[in-house]
Parts: sequence; C-alpha cells; structure tokens
Amino acid sequence: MAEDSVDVLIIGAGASGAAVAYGLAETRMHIVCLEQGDWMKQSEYPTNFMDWEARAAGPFGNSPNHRGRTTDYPINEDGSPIKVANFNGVGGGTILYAGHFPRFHPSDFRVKTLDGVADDWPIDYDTLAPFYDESDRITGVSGLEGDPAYPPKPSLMPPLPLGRSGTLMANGFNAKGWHWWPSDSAIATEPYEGRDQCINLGACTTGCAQGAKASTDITFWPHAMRAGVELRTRCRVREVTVDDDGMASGAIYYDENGNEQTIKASVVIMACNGVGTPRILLNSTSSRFPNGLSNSSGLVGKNLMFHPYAHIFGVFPDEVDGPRGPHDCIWSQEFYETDTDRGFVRGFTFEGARGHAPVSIAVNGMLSGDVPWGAGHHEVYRQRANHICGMVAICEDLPEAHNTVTLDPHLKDPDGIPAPKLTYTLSDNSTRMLEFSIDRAREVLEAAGATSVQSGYPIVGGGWHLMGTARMGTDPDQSVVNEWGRSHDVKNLFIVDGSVFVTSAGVNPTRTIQALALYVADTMKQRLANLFD
Amino acid sequence: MNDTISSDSNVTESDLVALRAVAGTIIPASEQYQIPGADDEAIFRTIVSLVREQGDGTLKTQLAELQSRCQERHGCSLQKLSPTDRTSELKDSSNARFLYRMIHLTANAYYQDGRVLASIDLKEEPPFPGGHEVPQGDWSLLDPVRKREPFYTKV
Ligand SMILES: Cc1cc2nc3c(=O)[nH]c(=O)nc-3n(C[C@H](O)[C@H](O)[C@H](O)COP(=O)(O)OP(=O)(O)OC[C@H]3O[C@@H](n4cnc5c(N)ncnc54)[C@H](O)[C@@H]3O)c2cc1C
Repeated sequence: MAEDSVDVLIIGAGASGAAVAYGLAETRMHIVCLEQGDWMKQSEYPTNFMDWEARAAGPFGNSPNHRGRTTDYPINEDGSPIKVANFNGVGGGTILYAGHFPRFHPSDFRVKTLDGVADDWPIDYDTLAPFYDESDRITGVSGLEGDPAYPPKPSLMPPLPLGRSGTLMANGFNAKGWHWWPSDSAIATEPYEGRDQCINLGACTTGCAQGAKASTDITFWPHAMRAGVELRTRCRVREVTVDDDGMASGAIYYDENGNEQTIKASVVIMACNGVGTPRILLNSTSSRFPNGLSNSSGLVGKNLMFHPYAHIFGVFPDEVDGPRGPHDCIWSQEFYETDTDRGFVRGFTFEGARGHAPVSIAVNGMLSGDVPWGAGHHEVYRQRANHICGMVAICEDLPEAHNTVTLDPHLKDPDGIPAPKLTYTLSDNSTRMLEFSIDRAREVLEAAGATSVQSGYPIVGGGWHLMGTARMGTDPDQSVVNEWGRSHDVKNLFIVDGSVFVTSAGVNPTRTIQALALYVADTMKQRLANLFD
Repeated sequence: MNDTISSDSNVTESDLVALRAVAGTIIPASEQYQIPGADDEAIFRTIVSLVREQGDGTLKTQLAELQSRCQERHGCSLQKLSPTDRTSELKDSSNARFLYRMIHLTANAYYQDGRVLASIDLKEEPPFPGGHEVPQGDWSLLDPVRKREPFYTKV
C-alpha cells in the first residue's frame, strides 16, 4: 500500500478544525482531517420525532459518558463539580451548541494589565477583528448593530425575535435601568448561503433539523471540501508521532474497523478541544518528549477553564415562549467589566432563556417537589408549562494551574486509548460572582413580574466550554504555543482549539475559537516560506 | 401488552399491571382538563417501550422489592391497593429509586402524547417541520439602552 503522506494533518473536525481547514484550503496543499465521529443527518435530529426530549437525553445528550456512542470517548470527571458537554462528530460541539455567538471584549485580552489577575493574551481584539468578520460571514450571524457594550461590529441578519419571554425580561432589565441587547446568534433569521431560516423549533441544543443553526458541518466544511480538503470520519487518533529531529511526523490512529493506521504529515494541527487536545498530546510520549508532546513548560493539561454557570428562572402569570423558539434570545452585559465593589474581579453575561420544554418541566418539577405528582399535578403543571423563563449567568473562569486534564490510569476509550481525567475546583472569585449574578437576576425577574424565582449554581452538566489547557504566549516557560498557535517545542505542530485560550472571558467561546483558527491559518499562509523558523 | 416487551424481557404480565397502576398514580387522568392519565393504553405503551430501550433489569428488581413490602404491610400487591395507600407506599423513602425512575419514564411518555400537548397549547406533532410562531416583540423597548454611551472598557 502506498504510504499515506500529506502536507497538513488536522485532528478533529469541530469548530476549530473546520475553520482552520477552510482557512488553509486556498493553499491547495494536500490537507487531510481525521475525525473520530460521523457526519450527522438532519433527518435524524430529535425534533423530527414526537419523543424529541427523550432522544435529546439519549443519543443526542450532552454528556459523552451518558450518550454512549461508539464514536465518543469516556471522561473521568469524578474530580470536577462541572461535567463535560461535547459532541464528537463532524461539526464537533457545534452540532449541539445553542449558537450564542458573542465576541470577546477588548478588555478580555488584557486582564493582567487591567485587574492584576491571570495573564494578558499575546494578541488583542484588533488582531482578531478581521478574522471575527470572516468567521461571521461563513457562519451567518444574526444580531443588531449598535450594542453599547461592544466596539462596533457588523450584523449580517436581523436579530432573533424577542418573543414573549424576551419582552418580559427586557421589561425587567429596563425597570432596573440595566443593559440588555438581542443576542448575537449563529442562527440564520433569513435564508443564508443555502441554509434555511430559523422556524423556531425550540430545541437547538439537540441539533437543528432545519439547518438554520450554523454547525460547522454545514458552514465551513462544505467550503473546505469543495476546495479539496479531505475529511476522513471514524478515524480516532491515538498519538502524534515525532521524527529524529523532534518534529511532528504524523499520527497513529484507529480506523472504523479498529485497525491501527499511520499517516505522515509535514504539519500537524490539533483541533480536538480543550480536553481532547491535551489528552492526545499527553499520550504522545517518546524518548525525546517523555512528558508528552509540546509539554516542556509542563502546562499541557493545566489551567483548565469552564465557564461556571448560574441558572435563575421565574414563574410568570403571563404566557411565555416556553419551548417555542431558539434558546438564544437577549443578553445583558451590565456586569461584564470589573467593578471591585462587587467583591470579585472580571464579570459575566446574562443570557436570557425562553423557557423549558414539557418533559423537563414535569421531571424537574416532580423530582424537586415544585410540581406534585398524583392529585394536584395538572393544576400546578399548568401554572409552570409555558410560564417559566429566565436566564443563565455565564461567568468568567480564571486560569488556575491546579485545574487539570490528565490521563486516567485505568479508563480507556473503545480503541484502548487512555481517557482524560479532570480535576477542577470552583474558585472563590467564581463563587462570589455566581452568587452576585443570582441576586441581580432575581431582581430583574421580580421586576418583570415573576411570582416565584428558583436558582442554583453551578450547572453541573454545563461544561460546554473547554479552554486553557495549552495556552498561548510569548514565553516558552509560561505557555505551550506562541502567539500564532505554533508549539514552542515542535515547530510544525499547531493548536487551534479552545486549549490555547489564555483567559476565558465571560462569554461563550466559539466565535473566538473560529476567529483564532482563521487567524492561525492566515499567519501560516503569510509565513509558508519560513513556517518552521 | 406482550407485543411491546421483548421476548427476553424479565417483566411479567403482572409487573405490567403494577407499573401501569403506578403510572396512573403519578399522573392521573383529569376530567377538568379532559386529558387521560399516564395509565392510558397508548401512553403506557410508550412507557413500556422506554423501559425496553433502557433495560428493565433494575426496574424489575426494584418493583419486586416494593411488592414484597406491600405484601408485608398490606397483605396484597401494589396494584390492589387503594389509590391513597398506593400513593403513600410510593412516597416511602425505601422506594425512592423506583419512584425516581418511574417519574422519568412517566413524564417522558406522557408529555410526548399529542392529546396532552394540545391541552397545554403545544402542537400535536414533532417540532420539525412545522416549527412555531414566536412574536417579534416591540423593539422600541430597546430605546433606553440605545441611548447609552458605549460602556465597554477601552484598552
Ligand atoms: C450543548 C452545547 C451547547 C453549547 N452552546 C454553545 C453556545 O451557545 N455558544 C458557544 O460559543 N459555544 C457553545 N458550545 C461550545 C462549542 O460547541 C465549543 O466551544 C466548540 O465546538 C469548540 O470547538 P473545538 O474545535 O475546540 O472543539 P469541538 O467542536 O469539540 O471539536 C473537537 C473534535 O475533535 C474530535 N476529536 C477529539 N479527539 C479526537 C481524536 N483523538 N481523534 C480524532 N478526532 C478527535 C471530536 O470528535 C470533535 O469532533 C456548546 C457546546 C455544547 C455541547
């Protein structure tokens, strides 16, 4: 058999893998992406079926440990109060993401300078701005220009409807005199580049049967593949290999039949997310790199950041959207920037939530005792169904070295590759921020007319955002990759996923992940002649 | 009901009668709202298929334990108890895990039934392809925010 040898090997076909593939496609190099999961079919997404909530809790669930697809890998998360939510397949987490699509703020890249915590990024907002624009164009972002919480940014489609829930919450924020704005969303509100517009199916986090939500399998990937990038599914990478010069030489992976395969590559790009990437790097040991690849700083797998979330929901006498309409609605960044009088540094975004679906209201209500089972069930249930809405607070998580991804000594995936193990504690700063956010959200919901409010933190299954475990920086002792994503130790190894984040900001990360991947691709293209110098 | 339980299933006909009684106890029919209970034939059939999909071993064991406690305390099976006694038996903390599972199964089956969904103003069909109407809302609500000066930190 001819040797399988390519110019560029991308590992992982999620948000960042898709964007970097698209970004490099015009070079006409031989680019191959290996992805452990499958292509998804819109006709199989849960909202095609009456039992969509059951399916959403089963094969389309957030947790790889419960979903139980053979394309998943298990994660030991016993040591973390927040559990991972992901999806393994073409599109990665964007298959299930809600599509909240905020940009970082300029201050997010300068937290050390501004607040004396964590580190500054080696790049700034202006560096990423053109790549945000490019990513937005491929993604198709809806929203409204003029948000005073942000520098000016374009909006390509009108915002999602306020709906009944957004109207109630907007009134609450207005009563407090606080900021709110329609959310930037990766959901098309008009037909966009062959995608249909949103029809308010209301279950975005189970996969969009309408194709209105910009998961990267239907945005970046078709462009990249038309330009010649090859995407191989059911290929699970075990390790990145190195040659005698300490350069990455390719990867060893298992194909769909579980057979071990080798692929050679001149450049290797990791795009497996903030848990998957450190896992594979730590598993890529050799005599030259006994502690894992690109790990001379010892920082691979360290500084794991989630966004701790609080949830705050109110019961309203008026009817709300409930399960009708996308999750994305309005947001508030009144408390985004640091104000030390609040008792914590950095801040958070409130993201409005239109409501809950019928099964989840019944299950959560009956299990918590809020909705009785037996006599009296129907009466109370009817006061809840289509009458609950509220918000979540997505809090900036600061990097701490003791929050880690390591290799589990016992747990393995179906191909025998060691599983990742998480160790994470919620910091005091996060706890204070979460509690503050709950108090403020309660004020908003009460001002909006809520008759009762329920809240809690953290959202246990809310490890949606995986960041920081191979951070970027200019100092090889303090970072894993340089300011354009190239490994300090291995000059033909790049990382483009959320692992490279220096800090997490108080917003969802995917718009920034995609912009970063495009920026890395662009820098590679600019430097093709001396890429490894 | 036999056709909805796989042939290698552990669940017997008498187990099904008991599970059906439990489902109807958790979500009873309502004359006021003109809706069936979760012991309705079609809804219970969904419960049974969920049990089959998820595996019935643990449920079977939990039910057997509950039944033997019923025999000890009341001298009859769960399904023969009055609704009030059945309710208090289910509320006994020793049945917590069984109740937890049955609440999940019952709610999942009940709130995907078209008749039930229609009674709470939701469509009697899957969300796709029909979708939902969501009112645009009044964007003039945004006027006070539009008047604000930019307040992000400039660096
Ligand atoms: C339910 C849910 C809701 C979310 N909501 C939002 C939101 O509203 N807004 C937002 O910004 N973000 C959201 N996210 C997060 C978002 O999905 C991620 O930020 C984004 O997908 C991360 O991109 P990535 O490229 O870093 O990794 P991923 O998208 O996770 O892609 C990694 C890919 O690598 C593959 N891979 C991993 N290991 C291997 C291996 N060894 N071999 C081969 N392939 C491998 C995986 O199968 C996967 O497809 C949400 C996520 C979930 C699960």
